[in-house]
Amino acid sequence: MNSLLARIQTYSGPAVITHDGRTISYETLKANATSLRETYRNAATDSDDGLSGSEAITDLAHFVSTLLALESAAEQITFTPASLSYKLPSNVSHSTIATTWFIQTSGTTGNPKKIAHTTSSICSAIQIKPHLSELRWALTYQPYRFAGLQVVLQGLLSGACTIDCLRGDIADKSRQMLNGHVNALSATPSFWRQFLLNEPSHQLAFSRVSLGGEIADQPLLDALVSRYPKAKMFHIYASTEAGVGFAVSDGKAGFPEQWLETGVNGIRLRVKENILWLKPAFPADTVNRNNNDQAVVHTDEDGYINTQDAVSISHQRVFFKGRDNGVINVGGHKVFPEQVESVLLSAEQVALARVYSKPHKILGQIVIADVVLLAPELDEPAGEATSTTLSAKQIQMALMLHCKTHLSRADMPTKINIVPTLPLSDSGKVSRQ
Amino acid sequence: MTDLRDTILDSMRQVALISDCTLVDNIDDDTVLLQSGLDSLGFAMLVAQLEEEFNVDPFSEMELAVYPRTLGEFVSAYQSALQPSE
Repeated sequence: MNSLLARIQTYSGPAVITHDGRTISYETLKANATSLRETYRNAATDSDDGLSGSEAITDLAHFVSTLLALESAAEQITFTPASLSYKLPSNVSHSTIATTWFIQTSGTTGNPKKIAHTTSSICSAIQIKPHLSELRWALTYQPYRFAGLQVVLQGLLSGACTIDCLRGDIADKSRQMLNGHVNALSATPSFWRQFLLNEPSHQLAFSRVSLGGEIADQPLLDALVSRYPKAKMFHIYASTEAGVGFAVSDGKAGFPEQWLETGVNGIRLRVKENILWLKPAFPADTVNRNNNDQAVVHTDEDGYINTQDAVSISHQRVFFKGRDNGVINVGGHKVFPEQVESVLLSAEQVALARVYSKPHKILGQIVIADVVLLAPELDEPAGEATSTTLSAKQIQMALMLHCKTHLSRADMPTKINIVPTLPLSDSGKVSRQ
Repeated sequence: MTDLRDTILDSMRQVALISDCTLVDNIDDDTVLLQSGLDSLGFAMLVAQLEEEFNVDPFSEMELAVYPRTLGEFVSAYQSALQPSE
């Protein structure tokens, strides 16, 4: 397999726009990466035990050129928030080396894990077609995580331009997208919901809309189709553990049940006890280890990986219910917070929702919800309801009744708090901690 | 005291409506809570509602995992929790 650097040799034009608005061309990127690679190789050759170190990252262009320099030259690259750590062998030749990538999971529902990848496993979902080089991707995910690397690699390997839109709040990011004439965005459903509430979302014309990292619900997919009717829309299911995923492009939540029989993109799927298992096209053991070579991924006898994602099947469709290790246990009944969030989000008053647990003496745990309302013209906390506005109490009651019609009793939130905003984690997800 | 009991009874009716429970007729101080028509989940909701109302959850601070047995005891728990601020 060619190195990443070799795979972008024919590309030209803008490759990266940094947070401070500098445009770096493919030509510059390739030249920087090549000279950096030589520096590393020379230093490694001069030492007996090879070269270990870490490069502190200054901006997106530096991140990309360092990655291009190290890939196929280093045995290992470890991605951390501020730097890329590497290990080069001393008997370094100019041929390519198989690089192992160590990437941390975001740990939304548990402790972060370090997952090992090969260059081909991390690139397995990248699409390379001539027309994709015209895209201008907004990067809103941290590039050192799996989702961010997917955006960076998709941009790079298809000859497109990637624009750093990581800094600030949603309004800042939206402005960076406008300035960078972005036409493609990959973001979490939580990010998209907040983004759609912002004015710049009306001014951008997307030709690619992709969602990943959380469950994409039908109301959000419908809202995106009506806002960006010309865009190709994908919702991506990716498992960091499995190192792969697949994209759904029919605009409907979940994925076709038929895929459990036929597989998708060479990935085989099966459902066991309501949990999705998948078998990548490459051997599972290539990702099945961390730095200490301990198995961190649960694999069955047929090579299927446990994704820990719970699913349900109805109307020939497989729907995601939530993370199996994130369930709330209410007196022995398992509640998926993602499912309660999706019911709340289907209420006309609700813009954003977060569902989490609180310890309870008798029931063990109870379900609590925080919601941000779509119409901010809510009366002051103690205000009287008028004919056009509702008091917080009336809205809470309406939402409770809405939950009652869509959820079983034990799934219902015990309490719904109306809050002004919901912070997103640095991986763009709603935090349930 | 009557006001407090009325607020609690109001909230009980509301929770019963949300959670599909039917309250028994003639609830008074001697009514045993778990025979009032609400189950433990209903009581968790009631306590959450009342926390909104009064800004206090008298049971979260209790050392023992014992809930009051009757409505009268339930009302007094709120009464004593609200006392210091009055």
